Amino acid sequence: MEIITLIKANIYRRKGSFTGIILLMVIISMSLTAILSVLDNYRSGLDTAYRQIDSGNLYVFLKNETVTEEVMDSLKTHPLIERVSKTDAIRSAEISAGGKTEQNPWFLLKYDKKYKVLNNTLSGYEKEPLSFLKSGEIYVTQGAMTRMECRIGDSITFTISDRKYAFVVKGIVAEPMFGSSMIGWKQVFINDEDFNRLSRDAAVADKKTVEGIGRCCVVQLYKSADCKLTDGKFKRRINLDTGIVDHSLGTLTRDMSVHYTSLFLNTVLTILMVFILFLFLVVLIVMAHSISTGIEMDYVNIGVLKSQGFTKNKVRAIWIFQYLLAQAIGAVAGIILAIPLCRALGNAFWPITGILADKGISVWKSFFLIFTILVVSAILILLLTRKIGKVSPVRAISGGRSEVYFDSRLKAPILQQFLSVSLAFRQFTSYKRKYIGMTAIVSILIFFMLTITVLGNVLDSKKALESMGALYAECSMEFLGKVDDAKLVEIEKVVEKYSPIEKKYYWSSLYYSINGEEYYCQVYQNPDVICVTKGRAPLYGNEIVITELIADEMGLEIGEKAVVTHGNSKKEFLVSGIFQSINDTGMTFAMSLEGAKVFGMDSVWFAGYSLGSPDKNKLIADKLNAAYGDILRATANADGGMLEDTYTIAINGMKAVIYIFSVLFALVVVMMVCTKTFIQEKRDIGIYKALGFTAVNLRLQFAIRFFLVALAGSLLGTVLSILFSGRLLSSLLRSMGITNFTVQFTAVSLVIPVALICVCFFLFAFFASGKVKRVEVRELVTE
Amino acid sequence: MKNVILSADGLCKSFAHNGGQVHILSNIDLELYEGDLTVIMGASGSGKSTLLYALSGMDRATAGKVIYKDEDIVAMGEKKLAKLRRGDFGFIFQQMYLVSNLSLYENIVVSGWLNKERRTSQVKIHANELMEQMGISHIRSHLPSQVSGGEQQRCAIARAVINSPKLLFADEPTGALNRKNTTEVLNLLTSLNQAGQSILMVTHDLKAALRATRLLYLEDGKIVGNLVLSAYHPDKERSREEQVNAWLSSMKW
Repeated sequence: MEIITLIKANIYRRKGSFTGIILLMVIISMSLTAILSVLDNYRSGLDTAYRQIDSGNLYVFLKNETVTEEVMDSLKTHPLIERVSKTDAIRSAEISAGGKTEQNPWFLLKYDKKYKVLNNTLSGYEKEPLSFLKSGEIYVTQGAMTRMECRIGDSITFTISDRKYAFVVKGIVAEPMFGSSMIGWKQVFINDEDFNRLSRDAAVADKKTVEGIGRCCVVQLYKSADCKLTDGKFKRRINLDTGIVDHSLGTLTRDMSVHYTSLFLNTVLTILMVFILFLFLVVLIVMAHSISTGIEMDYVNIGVLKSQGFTKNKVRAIWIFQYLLAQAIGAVAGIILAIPLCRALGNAFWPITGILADKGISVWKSFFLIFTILVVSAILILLLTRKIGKVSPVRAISGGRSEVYFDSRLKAPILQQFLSVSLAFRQFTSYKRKYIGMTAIVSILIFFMLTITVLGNVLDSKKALESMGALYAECSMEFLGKVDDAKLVEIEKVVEKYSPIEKKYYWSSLYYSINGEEYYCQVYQNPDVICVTKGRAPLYGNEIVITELIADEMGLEIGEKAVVTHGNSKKEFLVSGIFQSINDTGMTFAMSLEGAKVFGMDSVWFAGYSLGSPDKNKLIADKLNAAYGDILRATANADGGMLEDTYTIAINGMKAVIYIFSVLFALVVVMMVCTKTFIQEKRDIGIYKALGFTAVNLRLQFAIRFFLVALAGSLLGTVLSILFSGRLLSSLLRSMGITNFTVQFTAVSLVIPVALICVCFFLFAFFASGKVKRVEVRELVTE
Repeated sequence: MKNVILSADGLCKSFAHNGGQVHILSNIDLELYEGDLTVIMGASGSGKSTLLYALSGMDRATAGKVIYKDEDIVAMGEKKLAKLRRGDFGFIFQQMYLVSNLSLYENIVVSGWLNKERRTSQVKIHANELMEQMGISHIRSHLPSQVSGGEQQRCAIARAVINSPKLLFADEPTGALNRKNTTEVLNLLTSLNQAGQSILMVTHDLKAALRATRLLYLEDGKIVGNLVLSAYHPDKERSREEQVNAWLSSMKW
């Protein structure tokens, strides 16, 4: 009973700290619960979606003539394959809707009931019977809609062989395999009648051209129950045994589909999760400060309690319980608040994933996480409250422990011209131990604010994007046939009439296999533009460069040899370097056009120009289309064709979350520390008032002191950011293919977060020190 | 005829306690004169310190007026009071109350600079002179925690007079000192007074009371006794002690 009475009294007396810790924990618990729940919901939504369509482990797109009886038999009898399914498809080489054109192949399939149609509100699926597709109507995935920026009712035009077919979007279907906007290839669905008509047309067209591929099929391979290989290894094994991948138009494993679909969601939520976990570190620092100053301030009370027979463990138990109680209340409140937050976030990633996810919270995971947080906190509190054991009742009762101040090496003279500033600086240097924690907190906040700013800066920096291996081209071209070098020079001259060319790319891209594993291959006519991070570009015909991700996956190093295959062609290449590319999330390699000749490639298909005058891109594209419309199709790209709106929105969203949480944390931390400091320095405030300082003077001193702390923390945070932001982002964005993040700081990007935090600290401290007004000089009276 | 430096008219101070009012000062009329070392004495709880702080504007009176330079201190706002403390009034406390992270020298000059009426260099020169006078110039860069109580109190006196205040308020300035330091501090206050400094001091120490040129006796929040003395001289301390003792006895001290 006595413990409960004391806990109640302590909480009442320290309601500021108590409330502060509750608030901080609410933010942390709410955010973590929301992040975990959204991740869980998407994962389970994705699993359900794959189950609904009975997706295979490997999708292989093949020309019809490749899928012979013999091939099918070899697949069906393969020990690692449980079953094989084959679906007819029609390949469209170009898709356009509104002003947007897509060069990735889309595959038109007959609509099957297993692909559920979403209802009008996108909150669930249409109930049986499923909507009937009329002629000229099409079902697409959400990812397709996002890529084409179209809506239900819009028209999409498909170019199949040499003919164009327009379809009206009837609805959205759940097709998880290619459904994400992160995947360029798509499966879309039309009715049987349309499919048969298109198929007949394509068959006629296919006979006319060697290159044209209209009719094709999708072969789905299902792993046998005893096959323990990952989907990637399964694909490699099957390819080595049957060569089916080498002869395919393209493949996708379910693991890679999951990877692409979850990539954006995982990256955004992982960045936020790391930030929130660091915020938990901030809470621990705040709690440590609160406990250590609390013990100092309660020195006499603790002594008195001990003199009355309280054991040190009993006193410690009171302290531990009151802090854990604050954390537990905050954690539970955070979980409750996460319920509406999860509902709001439920479909935030829908445009990218195309997966309908639940909107509930992962209760047990959240509770487990909170339990872990409480255990970590309890350990910290146990360590910090050891000091209580050292409180001597006699010393406490005989006047407590008065602090002794020592000279500081940082001591600066007090100046009349800058009296408030110099006094504030003296307070800071005299009590610097007290401010170490707060400096660390500011440095953590600034580190993350700068890190997310740096990430945002990349979007605005052509150089940064280029140095990370992005093909940044304000004007791009697709060649309609073979274009020789003389023609390319001619085209360049046209471009240079309007803008200097900073960088030019001439390339093709397709899937080749390295040592049996199929990867996206970039073939450059001018390989010197490849962004090599180690070694050198593949200047000779027997060289390739690979990304760090492929190097890790395949165990390849510079100087080693690898066999590249495509169809029936095979050639040994030397790995000449490591490069960075965000194409196919970094699972890519590159070679020169000379090297690709063995696979039948004798010219490049695309070109891109990074322009000195980017605003001239539209004009240049128009001029090129006018002059060379018969051999190429030129397009002007805003932002170099790099920036999806979704990325910008996501990065700005993360920036907003990190900035808002940082300011909130700054507010709570300043309030808590300021209140404690105020109580500790009440006597000094009285003295200053007796000397004639006004309340505004003293509040300014308070605010300046906190400003100085924020400044010191900001400097530390900036240094940490310069040293580690690149590494942190490289590791967080590795799954996107960025293994060597180029950090670019600008004066503005450094100043804005630092200024924001410093000003917030100044204002919050000024606001929190309002109590100075209530300090009466009379408190110095010794009766 | 001495000039009145500060006067109180119907000064009252009461506190709310258990739903009622406790009256500490009751309707006090008082005049303090220029050049006097006025000492307020009285039994514990008689309201001595409360009177000192009410007169100095450190504490707000519940009723009545405190007139200084034709202005009522009781009605003054915080800024005006702060200005008064910066220039016209100086304070010495029983517990010294030096700012613990400023050196002795800095404790003194900060007060001087706050006043802004003198140049930085003038304040520095004056501070050095005062430290010399108080015998603490050799420990000027020490922090308060590194010096004795007597040295701290001498520093506090120097700080209180750095702005040459018109009136110096001292609340039990020797209350926390040993005998040797008490004598040193009293000697300093006496010499300041004899140099023209007006001082109002609260004490219950007879040795301190002997330095007064005027003694007031406070009982239950009212001034019940007033004794005017000649200027203090150490040679005449014995006769002065007898006179004061007799007066205090008559006050039932």
